[in-house]
Amino acid sequence: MTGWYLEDLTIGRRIETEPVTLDAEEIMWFARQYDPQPFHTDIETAKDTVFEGLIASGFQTVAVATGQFIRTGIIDGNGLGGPGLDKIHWVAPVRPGDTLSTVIEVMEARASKSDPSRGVARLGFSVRNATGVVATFETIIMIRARGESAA
Amino acid sequence: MAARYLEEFSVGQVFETEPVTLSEDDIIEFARRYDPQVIHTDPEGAKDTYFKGLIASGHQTIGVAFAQFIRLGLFAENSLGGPAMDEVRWTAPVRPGNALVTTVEVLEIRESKSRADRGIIRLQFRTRADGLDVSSFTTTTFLRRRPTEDAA
Repeated sequence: MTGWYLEDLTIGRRIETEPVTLDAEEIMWFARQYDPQPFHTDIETAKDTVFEGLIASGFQTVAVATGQFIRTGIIDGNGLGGPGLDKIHWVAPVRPGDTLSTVIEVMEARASKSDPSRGVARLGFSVRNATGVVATFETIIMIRARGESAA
Repeated sequence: MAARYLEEFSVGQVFETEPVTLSEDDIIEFARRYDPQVIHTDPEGAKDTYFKGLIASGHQTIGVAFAQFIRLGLFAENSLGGPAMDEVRWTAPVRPGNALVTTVEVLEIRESKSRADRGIIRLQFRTRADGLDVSSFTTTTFLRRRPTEDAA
């Protein structure tokens, strides 16, 4: 897929990522470095926690969804970085073997006032496993504008 | 530091993490999985971008900050998971070898209305790289309250 421009980000437009499955190894690999809590880092220890078994770090769920978003290619060549995320909610645990797919919807998109060659967009992410939504969050991206025909 | 119950935190308390650095390999390994963009995965290709060199994924920066806070041991087995995070902002790039130090301030403490054994704590994270502000975010965590005597 070739990258989208600001003008392609019409409000309400949706894109769905390829699904990806998280196994226990990857959950523990991530957590030992980035979220070392007993319900994320060790299958056995996790059994004695409130979650009664291993669950993925919420940071990993957000990161996985972001990785799959990047792999859609829609910001290839035109993405100019991301200044932030808002309203991250982890609504259900992600367990080893869960297959995650993410729907991304354009919530806002506007041209920069100071530099019309680019704009800012807000994208709403909804991450699901087989039983329903596990996480939602908003990503802010900066992206090139196609602009008027330059010729 | 020993693990604390909800009652042992107070609004305005500030904790500082140990410093940590990300190597070029750490940055690339993370980004290949979770943020596969040239600025995060390809030291040569990144030179031709706006950032003029490899920078860490912002998702890695916030993960490192959170991990360093967890390693202080304040939550330990008293954390019952986190339902939310908000206002994540990446204000400057993090590069290989930067010393990352995070300060964590207690913003809010609330008892749960429905569950007597726990409450909610909100924390403000602010991370500096070699002294410069690079990212900030807030987290919400369910935390155990001190067990009452007569519950035993």
